[in-house]
Amino acid sequence: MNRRTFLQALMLTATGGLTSLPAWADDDEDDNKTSTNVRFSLANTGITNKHVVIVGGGMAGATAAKYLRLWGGAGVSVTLVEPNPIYVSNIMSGLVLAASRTLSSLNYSYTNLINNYGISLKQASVVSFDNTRKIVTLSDNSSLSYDRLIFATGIQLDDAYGLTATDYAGNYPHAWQSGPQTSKLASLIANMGNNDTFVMTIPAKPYRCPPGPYERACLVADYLKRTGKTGTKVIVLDENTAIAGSDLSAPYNAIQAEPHSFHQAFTQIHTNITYHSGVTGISVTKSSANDGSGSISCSAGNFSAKVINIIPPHRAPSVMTNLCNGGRWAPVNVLNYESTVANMTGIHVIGDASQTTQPKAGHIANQEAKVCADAIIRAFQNQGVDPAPVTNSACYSPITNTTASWLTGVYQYDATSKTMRLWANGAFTDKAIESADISSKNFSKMSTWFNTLMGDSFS
Amino acid sequence: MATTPCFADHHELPNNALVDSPNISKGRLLASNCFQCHATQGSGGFEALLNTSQTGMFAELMEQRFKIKRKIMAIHAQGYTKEQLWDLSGYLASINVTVQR
Repeated sequence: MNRRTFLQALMLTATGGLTSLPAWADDDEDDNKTSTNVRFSLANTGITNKHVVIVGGGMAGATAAKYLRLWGGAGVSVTLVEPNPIYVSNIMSGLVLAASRTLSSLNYSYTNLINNYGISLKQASVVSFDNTRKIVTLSDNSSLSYDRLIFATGIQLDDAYGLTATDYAGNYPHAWQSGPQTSKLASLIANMGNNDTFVMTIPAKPYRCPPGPYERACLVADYLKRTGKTGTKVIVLDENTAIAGSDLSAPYNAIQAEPHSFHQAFTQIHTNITYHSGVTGISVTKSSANDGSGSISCSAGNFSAKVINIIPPHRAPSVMTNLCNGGRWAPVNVLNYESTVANMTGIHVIGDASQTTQPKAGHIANQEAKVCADAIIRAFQNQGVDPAPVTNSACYSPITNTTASWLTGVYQYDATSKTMRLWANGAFTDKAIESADISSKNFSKMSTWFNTLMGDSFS
Repeated sequence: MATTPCFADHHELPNNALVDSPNISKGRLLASNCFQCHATQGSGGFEALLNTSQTGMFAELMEQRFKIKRKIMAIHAQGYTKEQLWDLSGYLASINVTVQR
C-alpha cells in the first residue's frame, strides 16, 4: 500500500464515504492555468438593507468590499471611499526601481468591483466621522450613513530625520507608497554614475512589508551592477536591532524578514551592499542643489550619497486619531477587527493601520479583510463571530531581476493572549518559514502569486 | 441565461464558468485563506480547487502535510488542525460551478 492508497483508506475509515482524489492530486508542481471569463454570483443570504462604508481602496479595502458582497449578497450595500481613481500596487514596485517593470503595470482600477459585484465607488476622502449618528463626512462636503464603517487606509509617513512631506514629494522620495515617488526614485537611481552611492534607511518595526526594505536594497544593487555602473555602492542603515534567538551574527541578526535569504544576498550575491543595523540618530543634510543627494549622519558614521532614500517611520493616518488611543496604530479585536477603543462599536480597522501581531503587508491584509467581512455578515445574520479565525502571510521577494525568495506562515487565534500567532504542526511558533533557496523558479511563481492575489482583491 | 452543470476532471475551470457563493459560514473563512493563491472561491491561480469532494480535498491537504521539500503549500497544510482542513474542504466542495451559455 503506497501512501496515497493508505491515505484513501484512512479517509474511508474517517468519513465512511467513498471518494476519489481530485485528478490534480498527483501534480507535485504547481501550474498556472487561467480560465477566461470566470464570473461569481453573490450569495443568497436574506440579509436586507445594510450599508457598509469602507474608507480606503487598497488591498484590505478592495478585498473587504468584494467579499462583503460576494458572501453577504445584494442586501449588503457597500460604498468604497477612495480619493484616487486607480490603486498602484506597492507589491512588485521594487522591480520598477530596478527598471524591470513599469509603474503602469501595477495599476488596478475599481471597474471590476463596480461592474461585477455592485460596489459603489465614492471618489473622495473622509474628513471626519460621527459614530453616535453613524455618519462619515467627506471632502466634497457630502456625507454617508453606515451600519458598519471599515477603515482600510494604509499608512501615513512621518516627517523624519530632517526631511518633510515636501521633500518626499520632491527630490527625496521615500517611495514607500507606490505612485509618482516610485517613478522619481527610479529616475534618480537611473541617473547614478560610476562610483556613486545610494544610501537608504529602514525604520524601527513595525513598518509596512517586513522584507520590503531588504528587497529594495537588493534590487537597487542588482540594477547598478547590471547597468555597468562601476564602483557604485548601496548602504543600508537599519534602525532595527538584533532579533533574540537569531542564528546569524551581527549586523545580520537584525534583518526583520527572510534573514537567511537576505544574509546570502548581502554577503554573496550583492557584495556592493553594506548593511548596518541598530542604527540610531539618523540625520539628513540635503545638498544645496536639493537634487536628491546629500549626506546622512548616524551612529554608524557619516555617509555622503548621490541618492538618499529614507523610509520614514509611519503610523495610521490622522483621520483615525480617535481610533488610535494615543498610539501610532488602531487597536482591534482580531476576531472581527472591530476597534477596541471606547464608543467605537461598529467601526473596524483592517490592514496596515491596525495594531495586531501580524505583519503589515498586502497578502495578509487581504485575509484580515475576509475575517472582517465574514464577521460583519455573521453579525447581520445574528450569528456569532468565527471563534478561531486563521490568517496567512505569504510573499515572494525578488533578489535580482530573475531570481526570488519567499516567506510564509499561518496565524491561528490564541485565546489566551487574544492575538494571532504563527502556528505549525500543532503548536504556536515564533518564526515564519523562508524559502530554502533564491531561485529563478521562485521568480516565475512570484508572477502567479502576485496576479492571483491582485485578482482576488480587485477582480 | 441557461446554465449546465460542469464536471471538470482537471484543475482548470472551463471558460465562462459561473462560480457561486453558498450561504454557509462553516469553513468559509478558513477556505478563504486559499484564495490569494488559488483565486476567489478557489477558482484558479496556481490551480483550481473546485469540482472535488470534501474527502478528496481533505486527503490532498493531508498529503501535502508530509511533503519533505520546503514548499509553501506544505507549510500551509501544516498551519491548520485536521478539523480545520476538513471544514474548509467541506466549504470548497459546496461551491457550485456552472457554465454560462
